[in-house]
Amino acid sequence: MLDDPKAVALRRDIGGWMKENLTGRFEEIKWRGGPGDEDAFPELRKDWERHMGEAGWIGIAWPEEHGGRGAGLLEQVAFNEEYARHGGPGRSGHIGETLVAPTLIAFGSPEQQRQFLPGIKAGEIFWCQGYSEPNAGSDLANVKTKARLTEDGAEWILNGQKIWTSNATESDWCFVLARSEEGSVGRNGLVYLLVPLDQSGVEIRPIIQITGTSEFNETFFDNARTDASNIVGAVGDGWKVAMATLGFERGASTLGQQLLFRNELDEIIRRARANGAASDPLIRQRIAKAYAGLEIMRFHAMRMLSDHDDGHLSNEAYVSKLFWASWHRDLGELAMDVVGPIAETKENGEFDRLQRLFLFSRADTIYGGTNQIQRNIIAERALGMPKEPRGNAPS
Amino acid sequence: MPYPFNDDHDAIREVARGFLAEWRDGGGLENAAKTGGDLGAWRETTALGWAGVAIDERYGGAGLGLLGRSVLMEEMGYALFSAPYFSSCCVAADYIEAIADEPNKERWLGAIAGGDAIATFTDGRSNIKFDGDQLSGVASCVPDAPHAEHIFVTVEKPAGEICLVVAERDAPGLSIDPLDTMDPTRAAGRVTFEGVDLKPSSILGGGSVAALDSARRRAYSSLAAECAGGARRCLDMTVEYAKERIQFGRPIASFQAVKHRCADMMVRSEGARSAAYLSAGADPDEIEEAAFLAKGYSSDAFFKNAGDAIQLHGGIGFTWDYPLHYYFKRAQANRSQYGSVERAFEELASCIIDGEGAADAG
Repeated sequence: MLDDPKAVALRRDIGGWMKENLTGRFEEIKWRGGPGDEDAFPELRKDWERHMGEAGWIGIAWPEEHGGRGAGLLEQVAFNEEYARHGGPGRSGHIGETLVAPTLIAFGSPEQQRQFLPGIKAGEIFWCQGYSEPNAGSDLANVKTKARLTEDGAEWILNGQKIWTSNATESDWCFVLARSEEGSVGRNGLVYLLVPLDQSGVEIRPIIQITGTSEFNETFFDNARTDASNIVGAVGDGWKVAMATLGFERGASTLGQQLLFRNELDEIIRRARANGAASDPLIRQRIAKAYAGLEIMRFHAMRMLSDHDDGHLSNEAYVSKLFWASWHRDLGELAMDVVGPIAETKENGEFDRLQRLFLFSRADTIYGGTNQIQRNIIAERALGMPKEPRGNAPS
Repeated sequence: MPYPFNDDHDAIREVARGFLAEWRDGGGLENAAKTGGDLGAWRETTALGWAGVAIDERYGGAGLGLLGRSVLMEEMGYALFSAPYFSSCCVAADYIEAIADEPNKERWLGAIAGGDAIATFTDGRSNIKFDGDQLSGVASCVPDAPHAEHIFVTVEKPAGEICLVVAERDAPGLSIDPLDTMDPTRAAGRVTFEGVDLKPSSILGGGSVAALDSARRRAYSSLAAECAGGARRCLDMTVEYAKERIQFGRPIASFQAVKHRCADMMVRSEGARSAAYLSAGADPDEIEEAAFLAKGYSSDAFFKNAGDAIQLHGGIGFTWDYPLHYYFKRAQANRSQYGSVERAFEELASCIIDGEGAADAG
């Protein structure tokens, strides 16, 4: 299925380019900057984004009239897979490229498209996502950040707090889901605003995580301002636009992500062979199960990609987040058990790759819909089971 | 059509679903459980061409390969169809394909594909003696032996070569004692060979351990497909029941404790499906790992789903009248067929850890 001729050509092109370009000063960021490691080499990775932008590798999935190549899903898969195969660093620009740009192309005004797309495409302007709040995590519709228009209608003024804003300290802009209608609740009365972060009304505080690193942040808005024109969609459309943004992630990066997983599993197997853990029958069972899970994920992805155009999510699409998140968390535990007591120690004061895997994978089962929320989604949407009655306690 | 299937696969799936739903709703399962197999329904399926679905066209089959067979096995698993399909059209056919000489393949695969012959297979290398003329020994538990007309046996000749032979059920010196099986939907029997004379035409060809292994892996793959179907059926029955069953003034399907367990069942049944499909569609050089992982994952998924289904049904799931226990028993039978789940995963482990390969490439 992946031998679509355009995809094959693109795979060859990006592969050749990576071989020639991920070298010299960029050698250092090979395999770096992935989940759990996103604060590694921020400046060099931004340079890398610019370098990719110059070569025309950003926005290949966008329609041609917006500067893209209109690459289909299979081409995107080929691109992501090949990028990962060559140890391509975690993409600092992926929020802008894969979430903001498609949202602007679908809902933005021509002026917004002209203003924001070129910076993303050039790898020069970086974005972060302002959805979650301390009291709006799984229950996202509970956002409380306030947005009001100034009396002259020139600017939006924001007050409130966002949390878990990935890479906010390295970003230039944030897309923010905020409540513009006083007294509104739930999905009504929301706006989707684009907010510049370099201003006195915005304060970003890194959250030091379980990994000791900080890709996540708290973002405080204290009379932060953005131009009135920086609203995407109409007043009151915030929920619709915010959900559409999430829907633009359609799995093209899935196979690339799986190559990273494969690489982690290979490293675990190498370590197990080297230190003798590979002769422990129970460890062997766990390695075999990890391998099986990875192959199943890969096949899920192929099934998912083959029927992506019929408009509804397929069974394997519903289960994939829960499957990979749980699998990856288990892999982290396996890594520590394989490495043994020495895994309790750091070399050169830093966690190594398997230690980061172990620690950061605890987040996998939380972000992007916790395992518990995923189970609700599977039960309610895929299996048609009734929703649990909702409470109305103030929060 | 969804990956990895083509129009032919989809067409047989649709026919199979219709036929098997009617069979199930007509009490087929309950009747079959009394005899260890519904041979009447079996004959109807052979008229539909099921027996030869995976057998090569030059032997009179449909040539749809392992993938085609996995479609039928998945649907049969869903309905818990009770017939000697797996023993005859999968296992026996695969060993014939792997070991028999060309003229014997033509003869026997043709007979199986047409549905005229019901066959079963047992590996007798350690327990059946063959002196070149006669078979002696006991095979203590041969699947579907009570239905089979032809018993295919792999034996080691005194010189150590492996060969495949066939004995007829009415041959002098051969006796079949039906066994009372825990899974009443699948028959088994003890086959005793007391100096059974074999004509030269009953000695079908010689093969290597590698050929035996390859036949066994094909069986793993099809068994995994049956497990995937069974796992899904356990989920569907549970969801349906949970939507109807009212406790505390609400359908129990609205409680998260129930919903989350159903979601986990769905994760397993979709995983079992992918595992079975990937092994059925794997290239010959990948099928080794794929078959082991499919057997390990899918048979475990079926068993866990059957167990969860009983739990979520509460008391009714524990009764004989409600059909869940058949699924539970079949799941255990499939789990232990060819060894445990752990054995399948150990076979996989030895490929990926000890074998030349994968982990060094990265």
